[in-house]
Formats: sequence, C-alpha cells, structure tokens
Amino acid sequence: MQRRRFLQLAGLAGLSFVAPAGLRRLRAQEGRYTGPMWFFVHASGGWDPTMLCDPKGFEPINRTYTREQIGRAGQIAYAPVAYDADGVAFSNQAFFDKHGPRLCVINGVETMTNNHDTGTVHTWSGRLGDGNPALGALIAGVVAPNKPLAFVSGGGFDKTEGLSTVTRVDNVDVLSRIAYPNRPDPANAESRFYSDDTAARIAKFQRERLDAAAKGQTLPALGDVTGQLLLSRSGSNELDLLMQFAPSQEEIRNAPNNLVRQAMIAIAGYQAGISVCVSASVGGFDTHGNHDDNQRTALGRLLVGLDTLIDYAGQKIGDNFVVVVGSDFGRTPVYNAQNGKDHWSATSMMLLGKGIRGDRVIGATDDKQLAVGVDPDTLAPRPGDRRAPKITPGVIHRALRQHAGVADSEKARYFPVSGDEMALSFG
Amino acid sequence: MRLTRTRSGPGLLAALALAAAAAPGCIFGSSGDDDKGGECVSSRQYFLETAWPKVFGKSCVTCHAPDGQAAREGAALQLLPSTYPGFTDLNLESMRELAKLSYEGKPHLVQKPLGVESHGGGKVVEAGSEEATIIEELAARLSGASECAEQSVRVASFPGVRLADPPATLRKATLALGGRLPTADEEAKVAGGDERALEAALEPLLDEDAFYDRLVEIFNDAFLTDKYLYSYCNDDRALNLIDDDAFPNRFWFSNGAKTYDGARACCDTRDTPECKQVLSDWKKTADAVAREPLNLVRYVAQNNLPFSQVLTGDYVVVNPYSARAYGVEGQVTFRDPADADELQPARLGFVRRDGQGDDAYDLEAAVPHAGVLTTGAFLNRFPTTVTNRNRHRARVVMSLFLATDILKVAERPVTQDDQDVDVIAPTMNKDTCVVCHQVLDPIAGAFQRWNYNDQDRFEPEQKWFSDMFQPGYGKQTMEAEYYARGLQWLAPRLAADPRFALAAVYTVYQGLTGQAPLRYPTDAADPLYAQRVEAWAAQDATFRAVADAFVADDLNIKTVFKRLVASPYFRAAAGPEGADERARAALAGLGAGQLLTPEQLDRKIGAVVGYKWSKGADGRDPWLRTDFYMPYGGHDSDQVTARTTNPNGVIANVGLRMANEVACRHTAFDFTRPKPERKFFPEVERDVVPEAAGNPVPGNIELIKKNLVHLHQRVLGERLAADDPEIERSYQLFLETWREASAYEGDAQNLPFSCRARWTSPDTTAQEDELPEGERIEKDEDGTLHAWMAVMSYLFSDYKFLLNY
Repeated sequence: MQRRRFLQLAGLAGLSFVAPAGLRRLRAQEGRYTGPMWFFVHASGGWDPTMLCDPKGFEPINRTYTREQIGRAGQIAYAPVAYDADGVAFSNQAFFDKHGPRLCVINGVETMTNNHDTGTVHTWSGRLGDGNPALGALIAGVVAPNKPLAFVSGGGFDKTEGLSTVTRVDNVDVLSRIAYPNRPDPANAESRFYSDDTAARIAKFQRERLDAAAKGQTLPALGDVTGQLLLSRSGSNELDLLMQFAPSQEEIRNAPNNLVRQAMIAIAGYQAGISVCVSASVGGFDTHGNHDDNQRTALGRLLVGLDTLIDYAGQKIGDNFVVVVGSDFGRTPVYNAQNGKDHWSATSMMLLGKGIRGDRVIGATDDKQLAVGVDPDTLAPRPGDRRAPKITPGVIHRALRQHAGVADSEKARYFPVSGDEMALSFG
Repeated sequence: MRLTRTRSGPGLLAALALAAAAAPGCIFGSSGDDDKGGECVSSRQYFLETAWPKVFGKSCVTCHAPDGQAAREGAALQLLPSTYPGFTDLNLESMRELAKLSYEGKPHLVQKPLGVESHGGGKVVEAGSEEATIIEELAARLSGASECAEQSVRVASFPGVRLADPPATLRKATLALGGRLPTADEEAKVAGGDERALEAALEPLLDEDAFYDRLVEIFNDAFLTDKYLYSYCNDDRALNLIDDDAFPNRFWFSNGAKTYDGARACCDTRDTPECKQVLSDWKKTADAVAREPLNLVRYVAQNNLPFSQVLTGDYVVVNPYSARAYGVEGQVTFRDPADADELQPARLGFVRRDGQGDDAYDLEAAVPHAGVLTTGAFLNRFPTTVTNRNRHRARVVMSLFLATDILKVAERPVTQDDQDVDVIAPTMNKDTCVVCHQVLDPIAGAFQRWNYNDQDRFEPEQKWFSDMFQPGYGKQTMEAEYYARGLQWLAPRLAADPRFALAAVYTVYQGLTGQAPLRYPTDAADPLYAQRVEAWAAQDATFRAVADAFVADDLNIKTVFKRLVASPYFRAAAGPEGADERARAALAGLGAGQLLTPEQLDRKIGAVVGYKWSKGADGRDPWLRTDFYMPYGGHDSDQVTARTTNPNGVIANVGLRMANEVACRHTAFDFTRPKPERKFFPEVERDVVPEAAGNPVPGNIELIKKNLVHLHQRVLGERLAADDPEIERSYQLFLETWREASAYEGDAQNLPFSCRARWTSPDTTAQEDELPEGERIEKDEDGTLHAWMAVMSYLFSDYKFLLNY
C-alpha cells in the first residue's frame, strides 16, 4: 500500500504531466503490444497436487490409486485420475501426454500459509501478505501501461496496487458501444456525433484541463484518481482496434467452457495489440468434505479448461503465450473425518508456453508431503536437509519476472518478491 | 506540517471545521486557535509516536504478541500488533497494569527488559540507551506522572489544505448521498454559514429515500447479500433462503402448488393477468427476503434507532409480501399492504416436523433473532460446513462489526514445524493456530444452532464440538443455557465493544470516499515512515472522534455521515502548493474524489440533466444499471465482490459515450423550451454567435460566457467569474467548434438524427409525443448547436462530473 501510493505519485501521476503531444508520441512509440500474452489461471480454494502432478499413491495421502499406478509422460509423473468434466471425458494421462512436452511442473512450492487469502496473494504476487500486485498487473504495467485492456480479469487474483488498470468485460455487444463513443450507432462506421476535428478538439481541451488538475493537486487521494483518469484516457481510443478481432456474443456464449470464456475478449485484445495479461479462475477446490470426488470434479474442469484454452489461444495467436497455473496452497496428506482434506502449505505450480522449457519437473515433496529444500544452484532436491532453501512462490516469481523482462523495471523494484535467491529459469 | 493538541469530544471536528470555514477559501488549519493548545503530549501520543515505533512495536511485540514465546510462557505483558484496531488503547491498558508493579522500587515494565528482574527474553535493552529512556518515560507516564489528561486526543491540522466551502460541500454531499442537487433554499442556508448550518442542511437530506438507498448500497458493498436479489424466473435463490419445512408458505403467491415449480409455471405464460400478478408478487417477496440484512440497516436508520440493533434487533424486517411468506401477516400492520417498500419488524416462530420415522416429532420454536446475523441472506452468504464450524462466519463478523481482520492479527508465515498433522485439535493446542482460534472459535460457537448444510435452518438441539474453544466473547464464556440463542448472547457484547462504533465509521468512510481506512505503517525502514504514521494518527484521531460522537448520539448512524462529511477526509479539495513527497505522504487519505459508482453516476446524471441516461424510453433500463453496470466498475455481490475504484480504458470510454449521448439528446431539446425552463441554456438563443463577418460580437460573447458560467455551475458545481481562465478555456472550445460548424453547408448542417429535438421530451420517440414541425430543431444553421454540444460533451466528461469532486 505504501509503495503503491508512492508509485502513483511518482509514476502514474507523473505521466499526467506529459503534454498532450508527449502522450501521442508515447503511444506512437509503444504501438501494438507484440510480446507474449500471459494467462494466469487460479485453481481457487486450494488444489491437491497429489491428484495431479505430485502423485504419492499410498495411504494416508491417496486412497484412489497405488504407487504402481502412477502415470508418466516423459519426465512428468502424474496421478492416474480420470474425469467426467461436465460431460467431457478427460484424464490426467490425456492432459500430460498432450501438453507434457511443453509443460514445466514445479512441486514442493512452500506457500508458508494455510489461509486462502494469504496463499492466493503469495502464489500470484510472489510475496506473503497483502499490498502486493498480481504478476499480471506488474507485467501489464511495465510493458503496456497505456493499453486499455492491458490486464483483463475474469477472476482470480487481480490486485494492481496502482501499477495498471484491471478491466472486467465479458459482453462484446456492450463493448462495441464502449469502443466507439463518437458513433451514435456503434454498428454504423459512418455515424458521428462530431466531426473528427471536433472530437479531437474536445479531447484536447479535456486533456488540458485534466492535466492542469492533476498537476496542481498535491493531495494524494485526489491526485491519484485524476492521474488515473488521464492515464486511462490516453489509450482508450485504441479500444476500437479490439472490435476487429472480437468474437461475437454468440461465440462467447457458446464457449466450450468458462475458462475459455473468461479469456476470449482478452485474446481478441491481444490480437489488437492492446491486451497483455489475463487472470482467470476455476473454483471448487476447497474440498474439506468428500475430497476425492469433489477434487476430481474441480480438477476435471480445470484441465479440460486448460486444454481447450491452450488450443484456442494457439489457433488465435500461435505460440506467443505463456500459461501459469497455481492455487492458494495444497491439501493435507491425511483425510479428515468427513473424507475431506484441509489446508496444507506445500503445493505445486505448472507453466507452459513461449520460452518455457517443457518436459521438466522442478522441486519435490517428501513422503509426508512436506516441501523438500533444494540446492539453490542446481535446484536438485535435498531430502533430509532441513537447512536447504525451499522453493516459494517468490522464487518462482523472480524467475517469471526475468522471463517477462520486467525484473529490472522500477515498478518491479518497488514490489520485491520474497524467498531465497536460486538459479531458477524457465528457458 | 505542525500537529496540535486539542481535547476530544463530539464537537471537536465541528470546531475544527468551523475554524477552517471561517475565512473565505477555507484553508484548513490556518486558524491559529488550535495551535495554541499547548505542547502537552499525552501518554497515548507518546506511545504512538515514540514508544511503539522505537521499542515496543520494534522488538517487544516479537515475543509478547498473542502467539509469541512470552505469551506461551504466561507473561503478564501481552501486546497486540498494530494491525489490530485500537491496538494503542489495549496495549496501553496492558502496560498500565504492569507499570503498577515494581521491583526494587522500579516498575516491572522497566526492570524486565533491562534484565534486572527475571525476564524470559533476558536482557534486551541496555541501561542508559534510548530504548531504556523511552521505556522509563512511558512507565512514568502510565503510573500517573503524565501531566496530560488521558482523554486528550490529538487531531491534526493541515496547514495549506483547502477545504470545500459549505455550499460546495453541501452540493457534493447532496449528490453523493441524495442523488440530487441542493435546492436554492438549502444553498442559501449554508452560504456564509458555519458547520452548524451545514449539518442542519444535511438533516433533511439524511431522511430522504435516496439516502436510504445509498445507505443500503454502502452496506451491501460489505454484506454482499444482494447476491440473492430476484432474478427473473431463473432460479429460486432468494426464497431458498427460507427454511421451507418451517415456513411452507414461502411461495404463497403461486397460482397452483405453493412451490417453486408452481410459481415457475407462470414463467412460460407470463403475459396473462394472473401470471403478471404472480411474477410481480414473487419479485416483491423474494427481494424482501434477500434484502433482510440491508432492510434492517435501512429500518434502523429510518427510525433513528441505535445502530446496535443491526446486531441486537430481536426481530426480522418484513414487507407485506415477505410477511405472507413467513405467515406473520397477522402479526404486523402495514399502512399500505401493497407497498413493497414498507418495512415492519416481526418475530418468527414455526412448527416443523423433525426426525425420521417413529422418531418424528413436531418441533415448535421461536427464531432467536439477532439482527442481521440470523437472517437467511447473511447465513447463506457466509456459509459454513461441518468442518469449517462457523469460523468463516466468525471472521466475517469480526471484519464487518469489529473492524478487525483476524488474519492480520497473527499474520506470519506458517513453517513446516507448524504442520504437524499428528497434533490433536491443533486449533486448541498448537500455538500458531491458537493465536487466532482462541478469538475466532468462541464467536463461531455462538452460531452453533444453525444447520451446517441447510444454512438458514435453525436447529435448537444441534450439538456443538468439544475440540474447540468454548463459545464466548473475549474473556467471557457463554453459559450452556444460552447455546440455543447464542447469537442473542453474542450480539450485545459485539455492539458494546468500542470497535463496533469504529467499524461503522470505517464502513461509512469507505462508502463516502471509496478509500479504505489507512493502516498503521509497519515498514519502519520506509523513508516516509514518520509521515505515514502522522497521516495514520491524524485519521485515527478523527475516526475515533467520530465514533465518540456516534456513541454519544445513541449510535445514530446519521451522525457518522454528518461528522465525516464535515471532516477534511470528505471536504479537502486541494493540498498545499508545492508540497513535496514527504508532505504529501502525511496528507494521505484526505479528500474524497473517487470514481463515482455506476449507481451514483446514474443518479447524478438524472439530477443534473433531469432525465436518466437510459436504454429505454421514460428512463427505463438506465445504461449504468444494466449494460454498463459491470464495465463501469460495479459488482454483482457474487462472482465480483469489489468495485473497481480506479478508472480504466473501458470506464473512460463509457464516460465519453455518456457525455456525447447526453450532450446530443439535451442540447437542441433545451432550446425548444422557454428560457426560464431551460436547464442548460438560459442566457442564449441559437442565433447568438460569437463573430459576424469575421469580427467579434462583444455583446454576444458576453452572453455566451454568461451561459458558460451557468453551465460550469450546473454541471460541475463550479462558481466561476466570467473572466476565469476555465471559462475562457470553455469559450475557446465553443469558438473553435462554432467556426468549424458555421462553415457547414447543406446536409452537413443537419444534426445527427438522435440529437434532433423532435419530441416533447428527450425521453421519448413516440409519434404522439412529436413536437409540431415549427417547434422542432433538426438543423444547425448558425453553427451554435454543434458548438454547445461540444461544450456539453466536454463538461459531462469532465473529472469533476465523473469523480466525487
């Protein structure tokens, strides 16, 4: 929060002092965003990696399969679990066989909490405790601060802490009215409230007045919001680019599943060069009761969603994207009296996409499902060495920031991640 | 920035604001009166500004926190972290007790950290060090040597901060809370007046329906129970909040079977008179049930009852429709049995067939109402499970009504050592779990007789768990005889906690300003730490003063609104010129200029324009309540539970479209009205052009500027002189646009179709409402309509219109 305030004052509001001509130059320099698109998928409630990518196969951790039944796709071991996800038959085997060659699994991620909110913040910001931005907000804020849909959220952790603006949109019909504010009839490209000259003139006078207001305001609460309004207007006229690529509302309604639905407009935004990151979530993982069935249902939805999302994104934007999947934390290595599993701080994350070396497993948990420390240079697990540093979300975020090319940015420095230094990279 | 000391009390803020408002321009804190308050530093201030950041919050709390080593070993000193509301007072109380005890003539508080007396942590402070001196001074103060009254409260002044004057504050408050413009009479009453006049002007505003609507919105942002509002025929979520075994008449309005399916039969034949009635009754019933928690807030405020009744009210609020669903229509009398907005308290009871087979029996019970806590909407919105055991609810109760985030109280990493699954009942036996659960679980136990699966079902015989801390509150344990009405036992204790009043202040503050209260800064290495502490302390003092006034006024929630509106946290309009980063950090939280919520902007447009910005005719389906509600930052109380408080690209464009559509619809139309009836153009006619044959027309320019002054006042609330630079800026926009438009020829002079004045109202396109041809305005021969439209778009998209300025 403190850093956020500083940033808004020193950075975002500072942008508001840029003269209109300066803003135009800035936009021209930026152009369309062409770096990788980022999907952050949150398995909400705390997933059980032992039913997915960190299989154990013995009691009391797992009841539904044995060690011998554990599957393997290349280097990746997986639990032999099959799903009926809303009528779609799927399985871990199908998922890992198909995507394993591009997939990096990180096991034994120590979230250091068993609290949903804290774990979610830790997983997606790289730092324990609130007041820290989602990685998507950081990347969007660094690589495309003026793009109107730089960070789109359909769910999951999407706190920006002032680094960028988060947008929630799921209705294309509405978006078309929003994209063309100077058209009385959004569907008619010829209709105009004002001539282009007058529209530009109004915008110029608005900007001048708002700029003067932002520049002269020294109360943080008022200066922040006027600066944000100026910032948001600086790229809002690019929304019309989105409409060239946007799916129809009918297509969105008929999306194969909710995960794809959450990402469709953002993918169109990426095609238009105005979107960078999308945050999405799949719920149902907080399985305190009837764990095996309920976790299977949630995992089925997640994996089917991921599978179709990866395919959909591939069709639309080729291979220029990265998917990061994580959860609040893991689940206990024992069942409770309701056949459920409670909260457990050790968990896993999965990554796939542009520049991510696949068919790879990093880190591990032991037979008690405790996170195993690793050699910070080789990342080799060091079972039994309680002093060996553990992989935390912060360690992963440090590497992800490098991967995204934002690690050395001023904004990243204001929000440092936690965790030990390790030679982790995903390339 | 200089801080001054004054005594606390209900009149404190008013007195400060009075001083601020006395001079034109209202530079807050420039009055010297408060600066003469002497330099006495109370123990509380000393603790807050010196002892806590330098000693107790830096080192002592590590062991003396509730989950620390010292606490585990039974140390007398327990310190709450700064994340705990009221941590200052509670810690001082704990230390004051310790300061009374002495060893070798010196207080324990001093001797223990020096290691002179047995101290579990050994010697942690060197004799003669700054830390030791600070501890000694604090101990001396706490043992009675302080020359300042313990009740003294510091309130900061903010030199150079300009407050909105009373008329501007009134306009801002009237729009924000009443969704309307102040009347000329109200403006006259506050013009040149003081804060008393402002408070007096607010009184009637705070008894208007629009205020109660806003109050409900503010509390729904916290309760999120509007999740259950009726959704046309799609589901039965609202009426599912009622235990159907206990209240079988919940679908009383159905034509056939009094069930969901019976009611739903009308969804396919909705146009018959009978079904229209069914669907109408359904909505009125369902919304009343969904809104029980929020309607209780409304009812308490409408009747000026103590706000504690939101928790302690031994009734549920019903309307004529939900009364029938509960079968209590004979218990309450409504002035108008068809008025869904009429609310009355009722007590619910039922006879229910319980048990199975031969063990079945009739259970007769009265619902043990405890305000919102026992409403179906609250219980379902914050559900529990047999494993969660009401802990989530307890956490929500603490957050909503005690301003306490229990997770923050003991926020620290869980280590692998904490994760011993072999520990029996770790929530009672594992220190790192106990720290929260000893607070949380007793509150959870008060919910024990509400079914774990069927959330709203009262189970007077349901058993509770022995492997949890016993039901209770704080140091009090609930007697078993109260278990069946545990929430009735808990509610008055919650309401009597000083944090209850503070929580109400927090909620209202957030609703008024869109900002969360500042948190005590925890990063002492932050170069702006001192300024952040200063900002926090100033705000905390204000909030506690408001809370005091709230309590003194018998917990009338309107008092909180009045006090906060009068405070610089609502009124500050500009900071000191040239304030650097440090100075600005100390001004954190001052001023309310947040993005208006879609509901507020919708009402503001209606107030300023006189018509809704809507999809349908006659104001039906306002854009900001329908299609643009979520894109403009609204929430659905379900999947999206927080408002977007900062503008983004989509929000920016919605604002631009709104401005263009409003300008389009109302510019030409306003010129069809006689001048006295015009809202926007009372000073000019369409043929008032700024230039003729390339030369300025001074008389016309004067009229145009006069009209611009009117527009700035009406749309933005700015009272400007005709030669103000902002009027000149607007005039230049007008002039340049007019020059372009006056050159239009032929069809180019036609206004866009939707901007033409063809009807008697901008809200209709019905044939019967068409204006006579001679009165219509469809063409802009003079170029002024385009120019005025541009000015209207400019003003309606201005930051002072879109933000809460």
